[in-house]
Amino acid sequence: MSLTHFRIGSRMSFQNKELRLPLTPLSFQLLLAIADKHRHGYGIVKEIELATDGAMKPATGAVYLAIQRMVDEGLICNEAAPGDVAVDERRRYYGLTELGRRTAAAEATRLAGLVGAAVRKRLVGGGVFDNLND
Amino acid sequence: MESHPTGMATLPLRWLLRLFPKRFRDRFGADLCLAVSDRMAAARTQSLWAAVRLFVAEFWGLLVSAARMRFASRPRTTISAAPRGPDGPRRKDLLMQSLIQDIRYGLRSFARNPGFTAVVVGTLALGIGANTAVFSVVNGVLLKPLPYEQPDRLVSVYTRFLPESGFDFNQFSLDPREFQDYREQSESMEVVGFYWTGSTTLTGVDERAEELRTTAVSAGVFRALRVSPLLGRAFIDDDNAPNAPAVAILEYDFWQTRFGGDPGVVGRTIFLSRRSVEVVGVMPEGFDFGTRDLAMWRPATIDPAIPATRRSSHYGYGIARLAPGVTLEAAEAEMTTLMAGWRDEFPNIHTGHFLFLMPLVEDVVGNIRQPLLLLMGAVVFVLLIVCANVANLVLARGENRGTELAIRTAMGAGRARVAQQLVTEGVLLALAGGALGILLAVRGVPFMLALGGTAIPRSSGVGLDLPVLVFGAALTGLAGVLFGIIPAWHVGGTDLQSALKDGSRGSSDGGTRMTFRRILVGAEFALSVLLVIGAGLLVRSFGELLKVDPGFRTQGTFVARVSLPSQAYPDDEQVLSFYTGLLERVRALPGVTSAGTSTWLPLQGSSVNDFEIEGREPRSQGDLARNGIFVAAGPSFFETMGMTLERGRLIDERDRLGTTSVVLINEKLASEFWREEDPLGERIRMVGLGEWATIVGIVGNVRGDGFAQDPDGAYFLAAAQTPATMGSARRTMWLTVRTDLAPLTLARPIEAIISELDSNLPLTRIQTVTDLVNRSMAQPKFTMVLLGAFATLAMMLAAVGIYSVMSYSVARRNREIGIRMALGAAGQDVLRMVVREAMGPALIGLGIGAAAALGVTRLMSSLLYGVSPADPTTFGSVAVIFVGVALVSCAIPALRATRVDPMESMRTE
Repeated sequence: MSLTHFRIGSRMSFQNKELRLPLTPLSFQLLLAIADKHRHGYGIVKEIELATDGAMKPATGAVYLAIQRMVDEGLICNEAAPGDVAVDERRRYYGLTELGRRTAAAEATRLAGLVGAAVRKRLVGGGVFDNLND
Repeated sequence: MESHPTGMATLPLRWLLRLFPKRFRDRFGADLCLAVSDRMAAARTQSLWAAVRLFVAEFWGLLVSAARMRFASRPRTTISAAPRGPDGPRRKDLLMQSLIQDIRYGLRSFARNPGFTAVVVGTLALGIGANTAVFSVVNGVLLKPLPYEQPDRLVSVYTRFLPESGFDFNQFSLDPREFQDYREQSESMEVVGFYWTGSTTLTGVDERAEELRTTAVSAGVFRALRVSPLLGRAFIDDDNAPNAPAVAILEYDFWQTRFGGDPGVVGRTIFLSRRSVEVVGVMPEGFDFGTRDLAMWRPATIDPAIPATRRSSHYGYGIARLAPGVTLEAAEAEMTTLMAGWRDEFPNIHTGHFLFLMPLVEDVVGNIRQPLLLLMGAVVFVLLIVCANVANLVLARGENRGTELAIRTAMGAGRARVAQQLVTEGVLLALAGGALGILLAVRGVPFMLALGGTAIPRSSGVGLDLPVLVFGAALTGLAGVLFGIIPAWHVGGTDLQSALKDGSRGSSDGGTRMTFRRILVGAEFALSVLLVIGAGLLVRSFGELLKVDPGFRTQGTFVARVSLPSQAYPDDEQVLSFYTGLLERVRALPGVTSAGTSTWLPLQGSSVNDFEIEGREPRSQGDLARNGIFVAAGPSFFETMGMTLERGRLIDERDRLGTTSVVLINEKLASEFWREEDPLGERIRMVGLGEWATIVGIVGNVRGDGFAQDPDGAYFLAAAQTPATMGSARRTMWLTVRTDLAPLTLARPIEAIISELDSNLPLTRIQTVTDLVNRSMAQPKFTMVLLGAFATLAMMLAAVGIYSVMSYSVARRNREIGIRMALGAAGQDVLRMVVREAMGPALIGLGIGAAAALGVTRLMSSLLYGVSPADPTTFGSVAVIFVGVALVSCAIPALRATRVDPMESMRTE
């Protein structure tokens, strides 16, 4: 499998040392979940479930494991009371840092590159991107 | 956090959080808890099943995450893991697959160590099984709500006599006038009911005559319980009127067995004690309020003609439902006020005598609560010991596996992967142990119930139902966490290089681990010493109970009951001649030594009545009430029961109607009322009844209410003279027969005699006096046998614990011992060294256990008879036993140590 990868694109699109790509599916979904707004833990879990149509139902423990790692890596930040959400002062809200935003975007591009390769090999039709515009 | 609505459900999850490193907990702990609570709350609104599924998923997720984090937070070793390929991290997608791999690997490694696996699974099964079994009894008897609507609103009503009343009964029945007054005056109660238990003879269904247990209930009883009949109607107030048509409501099981579940039974007429009675209803299945094995309910009729001042016929019980919004405390406060009024109104009755309320569930559960809680505590201790033992084994195994795991890591297994492997193995062991334990509980519960017999109320509700299974599963889960996390933790700290270099010798910091394991063994010893002392006290107490002289013979006596219906035997003459004829024929049976009749048997409950003494002033307020158990006894009753005659003579054939009425008293009554005088020749009579009877003899005391109860005063009137002394002949009598044969072989011939005399008469409650005694001993025996079993188990586990730690220690120190011996240490010295090492934790554990026992056994003093909770004999013998156990269990490893060959041990390095 990895051999095929190497042939269809530049190495950088699969492994990015600086941005620590590729991301695990959970990490990527986590970044996506907080891309539009700050969310607290339960909000993140709900958003992931929603975004993947329930295909991904991560355990809360696993989510926090990832949160800790990405906070340490500077991908996400957490704050007690962001301005735009109703406040429960015990809750932490998590949002993307600039690095996190760039990482998520790079991962998305990487994934898009993979899908583009699959389209070129006629594994799937070009229409797979259509539903993005709805 | 604590106030969160799903707090209870997430509690175990929050507990799991402690497994995470402190750094993580400080930063994310509270937040993670909130998120989990939110998820649980959301799942709960969907369905219970969704919540359970989520709970399990979160539990597992936290466990794995904690293990991963613990692992990742260890300092990296110099041998780094193999470089990860691009698909390395994505193994997480393949969690399921890797899990299956882990399970396979785990099973293979268990199969390679069958001894280890069997010991771990077996001890876990014992611990979890004992806990699940005891919990299922605790759940069924103590925790399950009573099977009525809003059962916590139901209260029992009893009376109490304080000594100032001249009586001393902590919990006594009610007089019907007391019930009526309370029903009218109380505003705290929605409804108050009154009931008493009795028996009747059923005829007219088929050719059999059958004695049935019945409960007479006022219409309020079913209303208070809020139970409606399955068929027909409930009782109405009119049914309780004195001249109302006779009606009955059948119990479900009785309806099924005796009437084949025929719905047409409603409206049918049956004959009870040869009076026609209409069946008006059948109660739903499982409803059996009143008495054990009851067959039907009948209206409780209270004669309104008896004046309100006559309120000393205590034979009924009250049950009431609190009115909406009224608390038990409020109802009790109202009761206090009412009782003050009663005392003013009837000072000679209600001084030191009053009604009180008790939650129905307490009344039903009675005195089994304490033994059950004691046993529950004991099995929790057993489980702790099991855990300490298994933790010990798992640790030893983990240390031996250091090399294997180091190799796996070096070969490219991620640390997280190894951690997951260890957690999976721990959970597998726990699951196997838990499943086997629950099977053990399935077998154990019927055994426990059989052992407890009638001592366990509500036993029909005991079973392995959902709460019990959840309990068993939770224990299994905890065990899984424990045995998964512990080795992951330890192996995680292993330095891979040194593990590989060291070979199988294990880790470099083995010393601190040995200390930890010795602490575990010491704790095991302390816990099992505590249990064995508790069990020892119960055994001693039971022994004391057996040594008690009950005042009657407990062997070789047949007893059964006969009840003559007043319709067929209207005259006293007929009753007396029936019993005379019966006794004549029974005495003629082969093997019968003697036979007698009595209205009373020891251990079967008793009736107390006032008497007056001729020539003495009526009792003044505050004097000891002149009362005692009253018995009507036929000739030979005392000889048959093996009661002793202290002075004077027994009742015999001379004491018939027309001769001087006679009475016997027991020593207790004699000592209470004839301190100075000689009671022989004095005359007494039952208050309100009959004529004076002369005291002709004094018999020995009998412990009629149980071996642990002090004997009560009693007086025995001649059965043949009861028309004169009690106003009428007694129709219901116990037949007592002493025999050289096995007592129950007499049942057939005696039944034949009775049916010859009257084919419609049943002989009921056929049993032996030994049965009565066994039943009265059931509760102490139940507690003693079970606690004894658990304590023995605990002691064996502690012995295994010390054995395994010492074996391991000797094996580890093989080389050191070899060097010592090479340097001149004798076998003796080595032996002493090992024993000293073993006895340290054992003796400390023994000391702590004994000290704890001094504090704890006081709590069980109400279960002890004739033994002090700090009984030096018990404490001393337990100490000796445990020192012996410790010596024996370290003997094998110690002897093995003396046989170490110095050359051999150093060469293997």
